[in-house]
Amino acid sequence: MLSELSDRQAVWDQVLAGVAELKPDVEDLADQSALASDGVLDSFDVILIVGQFEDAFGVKIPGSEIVPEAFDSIEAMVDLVLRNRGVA
Amino acid sequence: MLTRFKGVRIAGISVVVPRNVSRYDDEIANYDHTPAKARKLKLVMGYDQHRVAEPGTCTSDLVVAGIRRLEEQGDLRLDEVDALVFVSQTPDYVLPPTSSVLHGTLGLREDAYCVDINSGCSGYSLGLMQAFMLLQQEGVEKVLLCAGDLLSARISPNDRNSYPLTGDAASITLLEKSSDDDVIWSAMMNRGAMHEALIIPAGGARLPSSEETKVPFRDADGNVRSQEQLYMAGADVFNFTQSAVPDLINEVLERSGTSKEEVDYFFLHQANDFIVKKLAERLEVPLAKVPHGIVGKYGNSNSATIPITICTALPDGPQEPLNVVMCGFGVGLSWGAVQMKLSKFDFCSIVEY
Repeated sequence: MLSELSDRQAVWDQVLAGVAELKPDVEDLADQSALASDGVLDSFDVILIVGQFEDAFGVKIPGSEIVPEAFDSIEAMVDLVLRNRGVA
Repeated sequence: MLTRFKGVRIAGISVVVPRNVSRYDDEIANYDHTPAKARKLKLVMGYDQHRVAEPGTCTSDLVVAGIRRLEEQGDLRLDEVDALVFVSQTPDYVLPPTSSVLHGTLGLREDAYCVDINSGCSGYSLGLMQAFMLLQQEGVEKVLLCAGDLLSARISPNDRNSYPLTGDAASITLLEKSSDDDVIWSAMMNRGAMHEALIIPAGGARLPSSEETKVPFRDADGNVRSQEQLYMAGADVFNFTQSAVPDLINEVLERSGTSKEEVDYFFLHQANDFIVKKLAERLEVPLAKVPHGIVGKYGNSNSATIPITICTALPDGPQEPLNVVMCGFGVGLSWGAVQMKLSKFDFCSIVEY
């Protein structure tokens, strides 16, 4: 359990850092809940984030999971990564 | 609609592209991206070069140039052509049909069947099916399928969704009756409820061209375009492709009793590299069997991308019988797949206009 929690925290930190690098002008990224649905992240941002995840975490994000809801919050993106690593 | 055909072969494919090359690196300032984001997108989407026709050029001009070249080489005799199918979204005129213009320019026989099909990225599959149907008839021995678009003129240079990947091209495919007994499996699908996901809203009867429809505006995606220029709901189209295309290909293969291992190539419409690679993953087939990278060489030329992909992957045509799946998807929204054997071609070329 402890290792799962620490793994999630590590992924969280990396996801947050990656999205912050892409969108340096967005404040309180960790508290946002509609990043893609509200257009803060456009479709190109989403594509680049997918690329970041695939490079950083060695996962393959299926095209069917590249939907706005999966990119609305840092939490949702962490779930996406972990789900495709077979952890969540 | 799932269909089966027999006794038909593709005798050759020739593609004509404009010689004018536009480079993404020179266009980046037109798009509302940071330089760093633009560079990353170039890698992920596969942007690099795309072909843009000179103003005033028509799709039929490229078709005629390609056909004249085939005639000169002895690869095509126009008096033997029984039907001409022209697939495009960029006709010469509102009326007459461009197939009539081509009929006259090429001097085809008066009893040659000519038809225009208004279709884009799924249009090659649709055109092949039309040609297969014609070739089931007695007295029809050879059909010319001419498919392509010069759509860049109808896309805002400030539209970061569409302009960097759009390419102009026309293709000529000669189909003929064959003694081969191989079965061709094909299917076309439509989801007309999503017709607004890829649309040029103004310029037709629904919203006629006016001074107002020519005025550029910034849309919800941040692209500057007018209502007379292409709109693409990128995310919606992407999500559509990722479910619809693999499902259709899987269904066609299941009906034909073919395993993916038995397929030599999956020639998919080259929307962009990201989409093509994600489709390969979803299909669970090696990327080596899914030729890609066409967007960065020529651009996405709608109904001409599958012929360009074939001629790029097989520069001299198939050297031995190949089991292939061709699948186009896009405007409509519509999508279509054809599974067939490709044997040695009489011609296979990409030439400049």
